[in-house]
Amino acid sequence: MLRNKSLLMAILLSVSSSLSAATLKVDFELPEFNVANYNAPYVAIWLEAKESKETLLLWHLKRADKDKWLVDIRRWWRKLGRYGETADGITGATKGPGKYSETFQLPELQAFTFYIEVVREDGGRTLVKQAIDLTDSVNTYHFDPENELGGLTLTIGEK
Amino acid sequence: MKTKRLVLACSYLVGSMLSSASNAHDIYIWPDYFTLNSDKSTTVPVDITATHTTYRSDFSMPSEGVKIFGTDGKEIRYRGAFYKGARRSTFDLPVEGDGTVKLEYWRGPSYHSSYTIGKRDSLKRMRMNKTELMASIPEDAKNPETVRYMTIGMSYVTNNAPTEAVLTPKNEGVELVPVTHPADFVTGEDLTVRLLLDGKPIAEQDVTVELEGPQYREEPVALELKSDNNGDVNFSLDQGGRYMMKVIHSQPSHDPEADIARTRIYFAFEVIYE
Repeated sequence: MLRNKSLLMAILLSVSSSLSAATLKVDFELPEFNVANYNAPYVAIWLEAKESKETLLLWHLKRADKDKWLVDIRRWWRKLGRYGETADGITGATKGPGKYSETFQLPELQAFTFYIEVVREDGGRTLVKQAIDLTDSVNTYHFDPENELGGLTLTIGEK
Repeated sequence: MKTKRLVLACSYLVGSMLSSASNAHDIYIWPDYFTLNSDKSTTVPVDITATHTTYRSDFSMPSEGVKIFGTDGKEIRYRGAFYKGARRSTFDLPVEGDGTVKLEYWRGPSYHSSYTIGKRDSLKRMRMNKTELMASIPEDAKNPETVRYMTIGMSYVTNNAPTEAVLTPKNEGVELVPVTHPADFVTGEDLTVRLLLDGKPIAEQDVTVELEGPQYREEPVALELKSDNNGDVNFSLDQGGRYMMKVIHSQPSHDPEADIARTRIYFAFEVIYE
């Protein structure tokens, strides 16, 4: 980490000088499953902080008039889903296996916990969380593949 | 774990000694969906049974005992169909709008008497109140005792955002009141329920929490707990699933037809993974 100290310092300085300009890039993979009944998983990405909670992404079964299985995205449902509508811009249809890269504008928070929850019908469920403090020098987080999540990298950057 | 198994074995034994099914057995009422998200009106199947095995139906129960409390805490008159099967009863709970609904099943009071008699002090049991017992008891009988039983099954259903009105205690009789909202019973988190007698804490009360499906396990997954001085029962569960909390509370009877008043409460709830 120290090899690129000057770069890190530059990022750190710019991040702390303008928190609201920070972005979060989420690179993740939905793995293939060789099963008879594969259903594209539900994916929720959100932030939890003392001050507020915010959904960044929600992929679910859009073709259903009202999706009655949102409750199965268990933590997201308990923390956010059950309290109201999720904005249209954030939601999307479920997607099959593959690599995805999504970049989000971060709200004005210094410290928060990042969550991604992936739930597959007739399959498993994976929940990954990471505490993030924008005043820290760390700006990349890698996670090993785990069940429903083929891999995950979080990159904090500027707009 | 050995003692736990013994405790459970004993409860089976006591159950088989008291042959009147619905009075001696646990009574469960539980929904197929404890939590749901529906913006349209929908239904949730609800089952009721008297049994000795957590979540396994054994004896059906009549509809009279069902009580439903709406999200405002007020009792709702159920007008739908009620099917009383051979070993389980079922009905469809209408769910409309957001919030938490409470299901209850009430059975009782029922009176059970006993005495010992003969050289070997044989225990005799009969379904009688005090007056009936005294009218029929043999002269040489000893240790006559009558117990008045009230049995309450309970559970909650939450649609969308949870509400608190159905968690307000009525401050009447023995009550089990969730402090942690039942829609937030999550693995690894601290969970609390409170036990009250006429609104006052019940301290030092034994409480059992058992995971469903004990018939599939070498050892039942059960916690044996005790309430503290505030009547609070604190616990945490590592495993998600459906659980039954069981409370058997005894006190001297205010009813002259019994010596002991026994209230049994069975609280069906789910624990979800974080």
